[in-house]
Amino acid sequence: SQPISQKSQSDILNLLKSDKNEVHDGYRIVAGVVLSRNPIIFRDPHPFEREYYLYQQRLEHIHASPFPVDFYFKKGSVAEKKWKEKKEREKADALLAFGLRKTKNKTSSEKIGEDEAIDSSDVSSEEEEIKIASRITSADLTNDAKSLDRALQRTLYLIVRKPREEHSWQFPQGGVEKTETLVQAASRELEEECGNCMDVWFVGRRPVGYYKYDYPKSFVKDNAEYKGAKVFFMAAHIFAGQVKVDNKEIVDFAWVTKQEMKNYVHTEYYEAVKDMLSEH
Amino acid sequence: MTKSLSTTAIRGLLARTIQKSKPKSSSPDIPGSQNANITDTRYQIIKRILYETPKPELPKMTEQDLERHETIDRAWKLFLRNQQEERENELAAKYRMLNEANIELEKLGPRLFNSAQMGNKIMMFPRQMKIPTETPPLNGWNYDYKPPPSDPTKDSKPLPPDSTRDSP
Repeated sequence: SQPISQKSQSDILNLLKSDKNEVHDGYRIVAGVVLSRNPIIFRDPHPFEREYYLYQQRLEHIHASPFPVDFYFKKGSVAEKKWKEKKEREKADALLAFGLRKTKNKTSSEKIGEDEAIDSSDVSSEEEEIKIASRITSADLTNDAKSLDRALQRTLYLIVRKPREEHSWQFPQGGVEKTETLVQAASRELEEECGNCMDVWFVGRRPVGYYKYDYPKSFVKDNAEYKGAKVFFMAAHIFAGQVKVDNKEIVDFAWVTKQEMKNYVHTEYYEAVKDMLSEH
Repeated sequence: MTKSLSTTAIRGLLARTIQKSKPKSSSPDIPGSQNANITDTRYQIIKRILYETPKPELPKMTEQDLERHETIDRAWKLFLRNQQEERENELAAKYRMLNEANIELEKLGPRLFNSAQMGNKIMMFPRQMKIPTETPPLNGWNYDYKPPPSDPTKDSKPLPPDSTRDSP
């Protein structure tokens, strides 16, 4: 029971919208964005990989020719002295590893093999201390889904939440207009919904995925123009910045891995979309 | 008045200038040069390393050892094969999606399809797209990105505006 003026207004708006939007066979053409944050660090090696590399290293040591110190270091030079000191330190560390089995606690989670001597003594007092950031960040520990410092070895994908009950989480998407291309529509929609404070690069102009869905019956009754939507996903990468929700079309966002997405997004949507995403 | 020199005199002059232009003190060290000092220790060291390095005494592998070694080798090859298969499957799935999407796009008509297929070959990658490293950058993720003031004549990243679009 809408007042008459309001109803005609919405009709006019719908007409205007349909003139601007791409429609095909009753389906609204929509451009979606699969915005990914690439992995920043190497993957942790598989335990078998680690063991195999140790094994190969031992074999190499057995088969290696002795190192010709007098060829590489001139007799009586400073470099030769430093080399000899370094070798003695390594020997002492190796003996320590066999004798006392101390576990060294470091901020950077380095792999500590039993026979490997870690060259923390590499950095002499004359050289500057090299600062290394940790591979596991605070965002990992707190499981902050909005952080882009989380899960540094994995690919993170942006999903946004619409202010509705069902099918709320999805990739950012929006209608393609009659005057623009797919990639232009995707770029515009991403800026409208998630703000412009992100350094984003779209991977070419071809869509990477397709998803067709029908609008629920209740929606179709009001808007007889569309019976559903055909979404074409465009791939993009983020290099800096963060999402700013517009609080109109989307109210929340999260950066999730492919596996975590199952917990946010509807199963049907996940099944349709998962093949576009990277495992790592 | 130029004095004319005889050919022998000219040859002698040339030879002396060439001799002068050669580096003097470093030549005795190069083994091949004429002034090489055969008793130079570096020459001896190099000869020793090349011809007289002792081959390390390799421990003989028993039957058990050999079996163990071969099992490790096979396990490693299997591990790599599985990894490769996973990677291939992932790529095949991605390509399937890509192909399907483009086929569906073609059904919608020429405008969207053609604009999607053209111009992809000259695409280049941005400098910000870096490969992973051992540890992350010290300052972490840059959350304070501000878009540069838009210059309508230039594009900072390699996705140029649609050439088929009419300028407003």
